[in-house]
Parts: sequence; structure tokens; C-alpha cells
Amino acid sequence: MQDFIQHLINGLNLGAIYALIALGYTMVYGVLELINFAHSEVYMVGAFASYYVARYANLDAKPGIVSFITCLVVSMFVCSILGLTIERLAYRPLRNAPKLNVLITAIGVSLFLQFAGQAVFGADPKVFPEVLQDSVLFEWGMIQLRLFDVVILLVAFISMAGLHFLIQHTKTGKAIRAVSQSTRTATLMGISVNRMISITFILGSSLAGIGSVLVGLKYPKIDPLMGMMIGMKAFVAAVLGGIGNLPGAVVGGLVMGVCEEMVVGYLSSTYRDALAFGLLILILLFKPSGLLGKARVEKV
Amino acid sequence: MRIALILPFLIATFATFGMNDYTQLIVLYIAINIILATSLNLVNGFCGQFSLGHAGFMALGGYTSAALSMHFHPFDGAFQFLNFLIYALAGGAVAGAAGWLVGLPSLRLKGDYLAIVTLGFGEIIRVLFLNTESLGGARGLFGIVGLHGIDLFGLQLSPFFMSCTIAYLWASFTFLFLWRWTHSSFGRAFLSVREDELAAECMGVNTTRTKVLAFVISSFFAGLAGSLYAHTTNYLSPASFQFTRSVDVVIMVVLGGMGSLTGSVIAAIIVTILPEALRPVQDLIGIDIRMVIYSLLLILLMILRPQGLLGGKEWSYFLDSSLKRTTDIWRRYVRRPS
Amino acid sequence: MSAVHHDALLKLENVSIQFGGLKVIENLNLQVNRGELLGLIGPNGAGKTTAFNLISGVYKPNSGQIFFAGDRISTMPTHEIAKKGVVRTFQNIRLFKELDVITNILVAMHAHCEYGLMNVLGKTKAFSRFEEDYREEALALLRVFDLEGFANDEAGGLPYGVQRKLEIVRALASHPTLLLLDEPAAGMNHSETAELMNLIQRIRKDYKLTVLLIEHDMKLVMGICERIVVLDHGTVIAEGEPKAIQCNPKVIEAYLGVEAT
Repeated sequence: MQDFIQHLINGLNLGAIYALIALGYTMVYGVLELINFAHSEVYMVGAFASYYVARYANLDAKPGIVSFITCLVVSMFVCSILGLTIERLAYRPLRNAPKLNVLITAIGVSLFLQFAGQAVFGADPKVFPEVLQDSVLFEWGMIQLRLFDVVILLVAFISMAGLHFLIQHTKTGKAIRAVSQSTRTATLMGISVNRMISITFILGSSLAGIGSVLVGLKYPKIDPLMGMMIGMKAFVAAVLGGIGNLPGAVVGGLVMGVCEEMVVGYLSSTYRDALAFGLLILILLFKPSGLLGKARVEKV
Repeated sequence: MRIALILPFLIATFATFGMNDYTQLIVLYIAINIILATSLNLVNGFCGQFSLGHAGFMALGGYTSAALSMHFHPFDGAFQFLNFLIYALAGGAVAGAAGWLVGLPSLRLKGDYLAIVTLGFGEIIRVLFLNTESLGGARGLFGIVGLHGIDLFGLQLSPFFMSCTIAYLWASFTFLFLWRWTHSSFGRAFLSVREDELAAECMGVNTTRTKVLAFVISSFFAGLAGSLYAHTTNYLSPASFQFTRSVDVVIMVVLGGMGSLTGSVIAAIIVTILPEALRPVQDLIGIDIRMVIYSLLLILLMILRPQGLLGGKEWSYFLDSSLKRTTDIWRRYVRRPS
Repeated sequence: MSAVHHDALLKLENVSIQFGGLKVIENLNLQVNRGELLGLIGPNGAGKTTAFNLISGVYKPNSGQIFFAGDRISTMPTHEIAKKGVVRTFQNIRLFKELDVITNILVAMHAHCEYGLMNVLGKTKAFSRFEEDYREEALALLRVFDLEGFANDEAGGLPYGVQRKLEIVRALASHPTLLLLDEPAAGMNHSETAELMNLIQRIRKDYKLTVLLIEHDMKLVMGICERIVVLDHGTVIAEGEPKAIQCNPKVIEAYLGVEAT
């Protein structure tokens, strides 16, 4: 039982991070109907950005809230800029191209960033500086609740709450929702579709940035290929919850995280990655619209 | 057809005597990539479906073939190439069957979703083989049998010569098979599914059967390529079948032009040679930016020339049109009406 | 006047379909007699194209059945319905845009293709002969409609009127018994529409077709249809001969704004 609760805590943690990244995928899919393969690399760049800033500002010499928040801000900023650039240079020219072409371009951007990352940052992993010090907050038998766990859950929660507020209770959010329903109608309503898409990318990329710092905290080894696996899993989480559906991404992420922890804890860690794909295939075969998604009937 | 039979021997001869070990490997890879690219083109290019799991089928074919070769070799001596025929067909059959299993339920999914399912399939296969210790697991499977050299009427044919010939014979076979297929009513059915699936269905085309057929044929050949890969490099590891391998093949298809078999051949050659051709650049700058250039080219290709090198047409189209232009000129200026 | 007993080729019995909460077709009863030229009219949103989608198998009804030549087609897959002889055109032309004209025709003939895998691979004499025959058949069909000159042109690049004509000719290539035309005159001017009227009547006679036609152009409908069925809110509100329909108050009410001739 104690094991189970520990696994649950770990799973929720992992899930929260997956949720943050999944939100990025789902938002972009919502407005562009595009699977943004490059999202995982934006995440990676965020981690490296805050790594370099932390290193050069010697933030690990003074761990604490300020350093942590600095990393978050830097990561969010860099990720947003990168996300915007990708949208502007690679996706916007293909706005009216067949979906296949954009998909291939997205893969191209993802690969480009991976390899460029390896060339620029060096392929060997770096250690993310300790901008926050971990400690055990609460112990009950074998169960440990660590500071990092709480921080991750808290930051993730705040970010998601912030996003929710933005999407549901502001004019911009409403505009974004309009665009994801129908781009053409949104244009007719006077909404600047380009602007909304850009904002969507900023939001999604920022969340990825936050996620990357949280990951850097808990799993300090970062390398240019770190985005691939986690990106894939986060994407599966998004599909699991219903691609295009924001609460779905959160639910999907949490479910994914918990399931993965359970598989690793009770089955075998070698199948941890295969779980993601297994879940994906199951969901696509039985309920492609996802757990929270609605099946859309195509009108002929 | 006759060209298809003679060409492999010519290529093999040239390669054996004109090249060093390293280049010879490249020549083999070209043959394998031709099979991969043309077969993927069937699904992605002609049928308009997006499969990202070609590596998975290749892996299935390769491992099946290798496993079979470890336990079963009925022919000896000069006929040992028949063994490899059996291995290759077995690899292809298993991959084709997998294609059927995967294709049947997945092909009713929308474009992006199919891409993800096939991607997932490829990864699952890879992880499966990663965890199969009897086939080498993560370390890989060493010492897979390859074709031995033979003594043909006093002429010493090296192992490489044998491998190369067989590889290109298979490549020719693949190309011929796919060419004939796409130039038939079935090929037209593929195209119709790509163009407008609903309209095709309403015209009597069984779109599901058509898509699955494309998928099965394509996976068969991917498996065949996998078998070739196993027996010519004598080593298999799950690391050779990652997602990047599937992407490589997609790049070849897109570069050559979706819907152009000759384009895929040309692109396969270019893509295989390109990293090597860029080696001097790497030596110059000191860091490995070949893949960076590679992926950048892919992005530019999609933005600037998405129809690929040959624009979805076959080489014969260009020959025909230049032939036509020449005869027009002839008719107009040389054979003046009296 | 004694009732003439007609042979029902297509029969819809109590067909209903709904999307989400919207009942698009409700208890639709429709019969098309063999050899007839039936017009299906009604205001926008009445469910006419949905009816076509149901008949051709693109949608499956939530309740009710559809019979064609005695067979129940409401449970058959779309391509089988087409093979049985029910072929349609589309409101927004759905040609295979990037393929050339003759290939468009040849695709429609695929369902009746007589060779198999072995013939294709071996490039047997049978294969070559069949291909030649099919090509000849396709060209002959194009010739009948003065489209032979466009045979090698890309379908998507043709002028609008030609595309519409081609879509009908393509449908003919599948050897239909029942032809469903969805707003074939959309976007046409008076002379083009007159040409179309002649075309429809001609093909009905030459190919012994039964035609079911959706149209908004009343001149065309009243001009060539022998019988008219009026749909509104997914159900039949009137049916009969053109003159009767024109004066039917229910129809006028549903249609509001239709020119009376």
C-alpha cells in the first residue's frame, strides 16, 4: 500500500509535466490541425536556455525561489520566441498546403533542432544546476513527500489554472477558441487569425518551457535528444485525452504519468516506453476522439 | 525487363572491382534504400496515406530472415543463394502480414492519426526486439550469414559480388513489380483514393481494400529490404530501426516526388550518398552538421518544392516530352511541307 | 385515369437520420420508378443531398430501409452500392483534380476490371488487351460527349462547365442503372443550362437510365422532370407532376421566392 502511494505521488508528478507539454500539442492542433512535432524540441531548448543562464549567472551558488523563478522566466521567454519563429518561418507559408506537407515540415523542424542542438550544445548530457534545494517535507513510513514533488505539482497547477483563466475568461481566449472552431468564421468576425495562432504558440511554448525547468529540477541530466521521448509521451497523452481538448490534455497527462509509474513499479522498466505507444494504438483503435473528446461527424 | 536482369550484374561487377570496402557498402545501401523508398511511395505517394512506420516492417523482415537463417539452410554450395531467396520471401511475408494486421484497423483513421499509429507501431516493434534476448536484444544480433563467394567455372566471385548482385536483382524486381502495378487499374485505384476518397468510393472503388492492399505490398517490400540489410551487413540491432530510419525513407519519397517511382530511385541514390558527400564539409568545420543540413533541406523542400524533384511524374514523362519537343522541331523546320 | 403500374427501381421506406440532435431526414418515403426522370426539390437544408448520401451509402440511416432493384442497399458499403448500379455526382464537383480526364474515366471503370494480380505482374497479353479495350471504351465515351480533346488534360484545370459535364460522363463510365445528379446546373448560365437539359434527356434515352435529380433551377426541373418530389425539413411535403407542384400552396410556402416559371 505504501509503495502504491509513493508510485501515485511520482506518477502524478510525472503526469503533471506530461500535462504541461501535452497542452502545447493540443492547443496547436486545435487552431491549426497540425501535430507540432517540433514542440518537443522547443521544450529541449528551454531546458538548455535556463541551463546556460543559470550557469553564467552562477545561480546554483544561491539556490532558492529567485533562482528558480529566473530559470522559469528565461525558459518561458526563449521557448516562446522559438515557437513563434517556427510558426512564422515553417508553418505559416504552408497554411494552405495539404496537411501531409505541413506534417513533414514539422518533422523536419524537429530533426533540425535536434541535430542543431547536438552541434551547438554538444551531444553529451549536461547537469542542470541545482537552483532549488530538495528536502523531504513529509515522511510516513516508506512514503516520502519531497519538496520537488510539491513544487512541480504547484507550479504545474498554477500554470494550468492561469491558462484556463486565459482561455475561458478573457477576450483573447475566446478568440482563440473561435479560431479552433472555424478559422474562416473567426476571420469574418474580425479576429486576427494570425495573431491568435501566434499567441497560441506563445502559450503552448511557455508551458513547455515551464515543464523543461521542472524536469531539469527532478531529472538534472539534460541532452539535446531529451525532447523526443517525453514529447512522444506527452503527445500520446494529448491524444488520450482528446486532441484539441484542453482539459483532456491535463487528464491524459496525469493518466499517462500514473500508468507509466505503475508499469515501472509493478511490471518492468523496460516496457515503460512501449506503454505509451500501446496506449496510443488502443485509444486510436477504440476511441480516436479520446477520453474527453467528442466524435466529429464529417459533413459531405 | 532485360535491362532489369543485366543491370544488377553490371553494377555488381563495377562495384567489386572499382571500389573500396567503404564505397561498396554505400552501393549496397543504395539498393536497399531503393526498395524502401519505392515501396513507401506506394502508400504515401500513390495512395496518399501517411505511414511513418516503415522501419518497423523493415525490422520485422530483417529479424525474421535472420532468425530463419540461423536454423534453416536447405541448400548448399552454388545453390546457397536459394536459401536467401527463402529468407527474403519469409521476411517479406511476415512484414506483409503485419502490414495487413496494422492496416486493416488503422486505415480508417484520418491522415495525422494514421501517421501516429504507424509511428507507434514502428516504435513498439523496435522495443519488442530490444527486449528479445534470443535475437540479440540491445547489443544486436551478430554474425548473420551472408552470401559466400562461389567458384563459377574457375571464376572467383567474391561474397560482395554475390551480395551486390542479389541486392540489385531484388531492387530491380521491386521496381518492376511496382511499376507494373501502378500502371494498371489497381494503380489508378490507388491514385483515386489519394485524390478524393469519397468520390472513389462512390465510383465503385473499394477504398478500404485498396488502402490495405497498398499497405501490405509496401510492408512486404520493406520486409524484403530488411532481410537484405540483415544478410549483407551481417548485423542487426534495434538501433538501426528507429523512427529516424522511417523519416529517412519519407525524405526519399518526398524528395523524389510522391507518386513517382523513378523519382524515388533517384532520391534514394541522392539521400544515401549525400551524408558521405557532405563529409568534407564536416571535416572542414569540425562538427557534424550533415544532419543539420539534411533536415534543413527537408524543410526548404516542403516549402519551396513540395512536389519533389520529378513533380510526381515518372522519368518517362520527361523523356517523352523532350522527345515530343524534338519531333515537333523536326516536323516544323526540317520536314517543310512542299 | 387508370393508375399505371410502374416498376419501382429505388424505394426508401421510413428512412430517418439525425446528426447529434438535428433530425435531418425524418420518415422519408420515396419511390423512383424504372426509367423515370424524377426531380427532387426543396429549400436549402431540406435534406436533399443527405438523401443522396443515404441512397449512395455514404450515410447509413438510423432507421428505415432503402431498396434498389429488390436488394436492400441501406446496409451495404458504398462501393458495393455503386457496383450495383447506383452512381452519383456531387454538389461541389468531386473530380480527381490532379489526374487527367481519361484516368478519371478509367477509375470509374475499375470496379468492372477483369484482370488480376498475375496478369498485371506478368504483363500478359490478356492484360495488355484489357488495358487497350478499357482505354478505347473510355475514349469512345469521351468522344460521344465531345470531350475527347481533353483526354490528356488535368481534370482540375478544365473550365467549370466542362468539369460538370465530365463528372456526369465519369458517372456513366461506371455503367449505372440509376443516376443521381446533385445540382448539375449550379453556376451555369441559361445557354449552359439548356445544353445540360438536352444532355440529361439524351443520356437517359441512350443509356436507358433512371435519373434522380436535385436542382434549384426551376426552369430545368420543370422543363425535363416527369415527376417531382418536394422535400422540406427532411420529409416529403408534396409530389406529382410539375404543373401540379407549381401550384401547390405547401410548396410555394416552403420555397418562398421561387420564380413561378
